Amino acid sequence: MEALVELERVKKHFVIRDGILGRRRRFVHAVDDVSLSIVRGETFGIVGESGSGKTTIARIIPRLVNVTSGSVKFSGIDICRASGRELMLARRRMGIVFQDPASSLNPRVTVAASIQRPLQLAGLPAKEARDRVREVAELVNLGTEVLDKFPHELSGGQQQRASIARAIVLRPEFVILDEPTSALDVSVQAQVLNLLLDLQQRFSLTYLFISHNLPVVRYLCDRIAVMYLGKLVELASTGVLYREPLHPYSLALLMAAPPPDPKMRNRRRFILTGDPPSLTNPPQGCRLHPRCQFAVERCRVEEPELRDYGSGHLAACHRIGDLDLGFAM
Amino acid sequence: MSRKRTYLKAAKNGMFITGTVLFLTVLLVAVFADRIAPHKYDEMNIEKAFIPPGRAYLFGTDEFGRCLFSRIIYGSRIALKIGLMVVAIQISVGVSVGLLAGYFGGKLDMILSFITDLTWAMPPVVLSLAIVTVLGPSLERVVVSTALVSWPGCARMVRSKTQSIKNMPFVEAARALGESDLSIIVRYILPNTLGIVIVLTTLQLPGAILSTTGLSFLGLGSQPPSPDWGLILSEGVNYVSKAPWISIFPGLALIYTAVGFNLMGEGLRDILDPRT
Amino acid sequence: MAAKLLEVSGLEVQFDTSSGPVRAVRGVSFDIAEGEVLALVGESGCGKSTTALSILRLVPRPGEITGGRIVFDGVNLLDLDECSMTQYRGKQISMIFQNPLVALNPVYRSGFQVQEAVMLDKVPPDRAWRAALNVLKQVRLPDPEDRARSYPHELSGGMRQRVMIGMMISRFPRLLIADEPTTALDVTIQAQILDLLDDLRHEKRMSLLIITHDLGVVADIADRVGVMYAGALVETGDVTEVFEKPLHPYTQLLLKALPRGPKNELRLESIPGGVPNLSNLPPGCPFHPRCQRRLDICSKVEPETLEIHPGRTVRCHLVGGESFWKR
Repeated sequence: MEALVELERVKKHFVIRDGILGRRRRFVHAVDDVSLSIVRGETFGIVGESGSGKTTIARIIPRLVNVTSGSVKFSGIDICRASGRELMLARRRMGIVFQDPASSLNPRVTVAASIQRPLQLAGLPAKEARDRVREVAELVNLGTEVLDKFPHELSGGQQQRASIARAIVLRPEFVILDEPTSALDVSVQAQVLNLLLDLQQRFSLTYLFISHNLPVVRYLCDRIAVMYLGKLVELASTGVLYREPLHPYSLALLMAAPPPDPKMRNRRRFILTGDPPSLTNPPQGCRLHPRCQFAVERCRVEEPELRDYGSGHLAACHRIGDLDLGFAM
Repeated sequence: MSRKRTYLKAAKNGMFITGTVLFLTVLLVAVFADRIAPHKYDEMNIEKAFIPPGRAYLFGTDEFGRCLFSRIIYGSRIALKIGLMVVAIQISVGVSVGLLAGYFGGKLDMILSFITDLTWAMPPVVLSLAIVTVLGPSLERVVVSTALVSWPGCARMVRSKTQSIKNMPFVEAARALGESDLSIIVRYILPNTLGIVIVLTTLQLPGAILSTTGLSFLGLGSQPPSPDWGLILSEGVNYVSKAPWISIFPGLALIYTAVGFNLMGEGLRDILDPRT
Repeated sequence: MAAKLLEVSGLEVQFDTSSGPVRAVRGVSFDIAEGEVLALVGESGCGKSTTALSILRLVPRPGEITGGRIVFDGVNLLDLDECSMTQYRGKQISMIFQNPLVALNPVYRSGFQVQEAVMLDKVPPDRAWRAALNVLKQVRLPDPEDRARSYPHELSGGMRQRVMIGMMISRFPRLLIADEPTTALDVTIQAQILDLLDDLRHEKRMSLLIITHDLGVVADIADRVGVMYAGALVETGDVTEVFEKPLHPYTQLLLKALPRGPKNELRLESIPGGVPNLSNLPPGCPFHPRCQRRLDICSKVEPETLEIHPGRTVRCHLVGGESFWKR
């Protein structure tokens, strides 16, 4: 079990200035004290709603945003303190695929040029690079006739395949997938998910998969981290999380998406009340307490710590032990 | 492949072709002015003053009996010079300021935006007056001073466009691939701002020519007997009821050039945009 | 069986584009009974939203309804003049939209917008305000008195969707059309809104037409479902029947394309190719290029809609032909 990516006590605060001349400064705690490690070869999922900080984590690892504090290690390299050159070499070992396929490719150049660019940057001779582009296009089932087109001439699925091709063209070990299928139609989503599985097997890739779509995360991921308002609230292997979720928020998330089966209509429901509060002013104590039906006085004042409940099942909740949430799963 | 496609698009784009033809005629006239013009632009013949357009003088003559046709032909050189100078300065200053301010943001953005706003607030006539008072009247100085206050519009547009593009996933992807800032600006952001820059510039060109005209009118720019279209136009105003052609023809020449430039710009924007 | 509230038959919508007319909706027929929930499900560009907009006659230019009938409570809405049509919009039939962030006017307080809707029925302002608060309570907006005085940007996405729903049900419409009501919302909020829609429908005896791409939403709330593909309804029926015994290959594949468990359990069925472009539909059945069970006839003749039994229809050569009955 070798950790490929290690985040230790990572915090990311964004500053919002308002008031006259930006005198008043408020902090948005996008990621607040998150530690996790991604093991080589696994698919690590991060789930959460908007504002949970999951996308910020995706950008912290290749240092597209700088952390406020904490450390990020990729294959032993300290990403936060790496020099320009070290960082560049580390980034070549990662790929990243974004949510919106339509704006993931430079609209002014052909698809082939977009896929070829990383090779060019890595200093590969043009001819070799062109061959590699063809090869990788075939890998992602992108017809060669598509290569000479511009991104807007492609369907959403093709655009996303092209983005994946660009992400893996340098043969990275690690690919960050930031909601790669949420903008796609169901029938196309299945193609892309299968493609991701095939590529992983073939090149023994490590994936970080970020999504709000629980069934998709369950299908793809080995371990899942649940985030809420910048905090990691639970982390477990997929099977364990589905069998016995410990945190009420995880349970709510798992049960939120209605299953595509009318017979499940009378299933037990667990619906959180209210909306996620503002990130600039998160609640004291446990951040979920205003929405949590199990909240007690302690939850309002004391922030729960992330504890290990056996074989790497982490959760941060005061009520674990009092509650049995493993029903209806 | 893609170059071929660009040519093909150019060949099919009516606006671009029309614009180019108009612009090329102006260019050719300017280059071969000495050969085309039947007279020198400052050749006076008081006896032949105020002859209406006709066989002898295609566009008629002015109060000094100078051949208007010849003057307008020579004037095209001045118009093109003004236009190209203004465009060159506007694009180089406006685009670079806009790109830098929009891409890097923060303190640099604050400083550059402040300068932009300051320049925006500067009345062009006052600046030109100041420059000319110190250095003496000349067309070049007027043109440069006009251009120096005309770039803020371009800078602002490019800045806001840059800000929206720099957060697009394809730019983030480029950063993740290890592209340098310079490369991101030049390869990813600049091409995507090209459209508005071209249109903005071509729209402002006629305005630039006209604003130098105003300054010439005040005696700051071109001096008689220069065949500057603006100058002819303003001189002709005195005789507009007696000899309207003196002001009509330079006006038409100006419109011809402006329309040509505009059409070419709009066409160029469509041709360079792979989405059209 | 309850009386039919809405009957759409042979609906045709055409968009005139620079490259010729595009048939966005091709001969769609369905009906909704009083108090029933019908879901129209399909992928992007299948014409489901256009169908919904046609019912209110709100298809945006250059789109135009070119054929069919839309009979609401005995009246063909397509025969009405624009003025009588306004009597139906909001009062008899209303619609909530996908994006609550832009569906409310940002410069007015949320309560005022609901009040305005109520006042369309010539209700005096003070009574309308009370009605508005009442409606906001019914859509379970927390602290309705305070929230009614907030501007839309001060509310969260879920609250805005509640205000939107409140506004749309404030005049007691008999049919509520919900176009992707949960798509723009966070998952835990989606569950709340679905719950709310389900309750409202029982409390108010409203009929509901839900437009969605999410089969989970369909399974959760709909009584009947219509599956759309390339502008046509390819299958309709009772929701349990369609989910358990889908007849059309597209429905079958769509259901198998949804992830339902861990990866090692079963591999997802994927439908090859992409959603077809409506301006350039393949000849015959529009699904045939992606269909693994296609027959020779599929690429030549578009299948007719076949009624298996009342309320259960399918549009496929595999069903009804000899091969079907032999199986």
